[in-house]
Amino acid sequence: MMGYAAIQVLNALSFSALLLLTGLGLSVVLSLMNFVNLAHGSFYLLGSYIAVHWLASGAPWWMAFPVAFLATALAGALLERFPLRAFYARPHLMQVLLTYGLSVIFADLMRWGFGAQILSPELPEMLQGVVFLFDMPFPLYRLFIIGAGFAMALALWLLFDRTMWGAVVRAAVSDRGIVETLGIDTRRLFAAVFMLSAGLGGLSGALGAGMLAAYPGLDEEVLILALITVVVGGLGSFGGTVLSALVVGFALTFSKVWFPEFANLAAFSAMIALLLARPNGLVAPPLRQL
Amino acid sequence: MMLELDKLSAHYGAVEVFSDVSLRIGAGEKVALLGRNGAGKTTLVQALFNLGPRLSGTIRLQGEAVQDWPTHRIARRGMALVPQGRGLFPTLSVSENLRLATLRQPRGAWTLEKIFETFPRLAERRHASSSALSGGERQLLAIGRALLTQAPLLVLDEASEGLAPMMAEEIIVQHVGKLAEAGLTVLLAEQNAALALRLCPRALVLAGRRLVFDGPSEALLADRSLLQEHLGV
Ligand SMILES: Nc1ncnc2c1ncn2[C@@H]1O[C@H](COP(=O)(O)OP(=O)(O)OP(=O)(O)O)[C@@H](O)[C@H]1O
Ligand SMILES: [Mg+2]
Repeated sequence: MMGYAAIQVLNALSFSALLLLTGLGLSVVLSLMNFVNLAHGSFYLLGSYIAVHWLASGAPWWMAFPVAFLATALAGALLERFPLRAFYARPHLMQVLLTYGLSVIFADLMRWGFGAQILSPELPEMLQGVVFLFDMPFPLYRLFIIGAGFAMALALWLLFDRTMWGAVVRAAVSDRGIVETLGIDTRRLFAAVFMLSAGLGGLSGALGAGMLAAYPGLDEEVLILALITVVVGGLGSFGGTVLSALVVGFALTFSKVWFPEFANLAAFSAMIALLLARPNGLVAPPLRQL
Repeated sequence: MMLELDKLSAHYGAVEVFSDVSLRIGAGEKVALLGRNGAGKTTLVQALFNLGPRLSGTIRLQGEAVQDWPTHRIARRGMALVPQGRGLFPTLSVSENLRLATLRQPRGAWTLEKIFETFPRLAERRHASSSALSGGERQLLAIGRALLTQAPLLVLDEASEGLAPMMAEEIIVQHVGKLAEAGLTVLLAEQNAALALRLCPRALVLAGRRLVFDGPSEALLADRSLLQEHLGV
């Protein structure tokens, strides 16, 4: 029993790590640019497919992750130039329509390019196999997801909180115009942040492929969970996003354990109740933060 | 010429805030921009930086027509802003607020150390969050940040607002006065005409969507009816 619980906690943590990386990418774009990107799930799935193919290619396995990050960041950069940039100042509903439309197009393109079957990556030898906890087996790869995911989140926190580049981003969140009066080109800053966001989506997809596989429709599933993570956390709060990634990860994992038939119903009802109780999310920033 | 406006007009939607403003400010001048509440001082200041209102007319900064430029390029051309309300970044510390201004122009007469020497009160609080500062300290921080962009033209909007009279006096007459003596060109948008005129030998008055006065401060002070009608003094 003890072992079973420990395994589920680790399952929840690995799921939370993926939600955290995906959610942070979505959150930073939302709080800095006030832009809702419903195509974020497409970056995730693209990252998953890239990892699956990279790991099958025989090239050094660890490079799958930086490659997925860079490739999706590049895709994000192109998309930001056209057409997203023109929509930053538009109402959210227009952004939603545009990016939802794009996500449908990308879903078709990916189905055409990568096929409709469920693809699981061939994991490198050193990450295959299981470890035993209280005599229960747990996939080693999921420990890797937990470690890599939370390490990456820590690196992002350092980037935003401890570097001058992060200070510029935080300043632009509170007042873009004043940042411009200091001679800083915020359009380039926005483009860089969007690239980072897309790259994080792709990186979490690459990490997640070994756990969730890659298949058409996964983009939408991930998107909705990332949106929930961002909203439950309190829009644009870093600590809040961490907390809510854990809440959502644990809620979904344990409702699958306890109410397998009603897992989604149970998890989403809990989240709706939580949002009714705390309309501003778990951690409501006094000011919009990252 | 440091700054030249030619037939400048500003609109918010269909609403005209001012029109036909033409003026020239030479290097090293100290000029007060006066007007009642809502006269359009802030709108004019924002127009200089291409922030906010829709414009027509031309703005020349050190000889270059900049009215269509994005704000960051105008700033780099040589104009710094101390905005109404200070515009500090509350999630950043005092020294981060300052260092932000040095990113574009890391070298120049103003350095972080020199700002801390000039405003020792900021040095004591360099690690504090900018939202924890007193009103006077906040204003000094906003001025220090603007100086660090190394721009030769400093535009201050409502610098005395929210400050106790002694503090307003200290900041505007002493600190800004000293900066101007050292060669900085100053454009000071102020509701507090009496205070602004103690610093600036030249005044501009915005009223009824027009620039109704441009001349020596002494002439303005002598014109009781103009003071009464447009500034309520
Ligand atoms: N964003 C905006 N949209 C529409 N109208 C605006 C906007 N900002 C200012 N105005 C209007 O423009 C006019 C001038 O305002 P402005 O803030 O420039 O005046 P001000 O002289 O700076 O006043 P204060 O002394 O209060 O700072 C006012 O009538 C104001 O209502
Ligand atoms: Mg004003």
